[in-house]
Amino acid sequence: MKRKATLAIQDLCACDGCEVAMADMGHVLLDLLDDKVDLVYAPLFMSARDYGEVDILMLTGVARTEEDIADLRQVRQRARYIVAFGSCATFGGIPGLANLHEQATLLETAYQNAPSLRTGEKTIPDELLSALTGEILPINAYVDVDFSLPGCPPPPRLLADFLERVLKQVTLKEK
Amino acid sequence: MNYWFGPKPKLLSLNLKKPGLTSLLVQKTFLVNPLSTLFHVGMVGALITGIIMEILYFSSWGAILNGGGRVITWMHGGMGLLTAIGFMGVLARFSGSRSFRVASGRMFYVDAVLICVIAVSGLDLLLSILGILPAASGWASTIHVTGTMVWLLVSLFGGGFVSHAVGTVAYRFTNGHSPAAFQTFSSACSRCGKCVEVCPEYEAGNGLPEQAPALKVRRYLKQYQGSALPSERKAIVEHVYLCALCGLCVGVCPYAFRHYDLYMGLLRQVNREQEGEEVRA
Repeated sequence: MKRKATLAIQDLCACDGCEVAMADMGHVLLDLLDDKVDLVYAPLFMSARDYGEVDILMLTGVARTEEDIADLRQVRQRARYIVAFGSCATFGGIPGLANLHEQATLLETAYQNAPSLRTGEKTIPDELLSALTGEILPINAYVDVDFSLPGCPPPPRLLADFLERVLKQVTLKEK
Repeated sequence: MNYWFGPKPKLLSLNLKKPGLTSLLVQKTFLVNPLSTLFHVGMVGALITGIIMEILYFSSWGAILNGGGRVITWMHGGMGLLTAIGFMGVLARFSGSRSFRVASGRMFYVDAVLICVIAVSGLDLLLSILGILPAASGWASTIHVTGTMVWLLVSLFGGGFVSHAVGTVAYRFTNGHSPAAFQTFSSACSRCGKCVEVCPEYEAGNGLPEQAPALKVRRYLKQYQGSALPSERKAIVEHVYLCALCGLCVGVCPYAFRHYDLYMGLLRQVNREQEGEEVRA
């Protein structure tokens, strides 16, 4: 009998909407977890702090900082298959709209000019922060991606169908 | 389609890579409509055997084949029959799917009528060869051949099925993200309507055709070619902002065409123009 595939869900710069879509799969998710998938890391669902080698890593969000890019390259070594999960990972998504403006304009708007800011000194933070990337790119610009699932987020039924089809295609090594 | 809990759209690609010609002809058509595969394979076969028959007829090579010409004629008839059966399936989907009708436009009717003329005359010839019908008059073969020539020309230059076939071959050899790819895709697009069906903006707009991304693609491609009229530009700008950038249209497209990149490119262009206007003001 084929063993269960180990699955991790990691987000970069993301809203976690894709994880909510996964939760909305409802009993389909529970059936998958019973029969076919061993979830080892998913911050929205469980308290695991890290993970080792996994069969399938689902990545949500975009690489917005240099640290994200480094993390991405590091997790590529640990996962046999990577899924770009959602439109952010696949195309750039809503964070990708930042590419329409200069970075200086974005930072000024967010930290100095937004109407919701309280009066007082408004500084752009720059200490102990990883540098922002120049342009927001899909994750396949940094690492090889095996599967891609668009959607913002992907509707639960589509996600379920996608997972079933991916699980049929992947080859699992015997432990 | 109810976006969240409604019937799932079927993803036609798990990796969003541009498919090859064989994959498009067989696998992707099957995923859209199994009878469409019969139609496509039959059509390609019928056109190839038809061309061979014409060459044999007008040259002396028919004698060299020593009866082989008869085999090609039977193959042509068989392919024609497959095409006709497949086309029934295409027509059935057309009548049952609003998104397919919206994406296809009026040229579908022109293609359909001409294909029916070719099919009926071809069937007359086939049944008379089989002895089921009396020997066909010369009119049947004249209508069949002339109808085919007319259809090929009208469909090629009118943006119909033949234009789609030629565009598909051309699109296969373009670089996926280049302006040439976008422009070629305006012909290659099969107008299957899957992108219309899946679009949350189309549904949110109560199914108004103006919201359909399939139509937007063609409108936007005119913009890219610089041939959009000033009156169309305002509509284009509004539609660009309506797009939710979910990218589901890419996942359900047989070509995995990058609608997303096209919209982002246009957003960039619109943004630059608006910033330019603010500076001038």
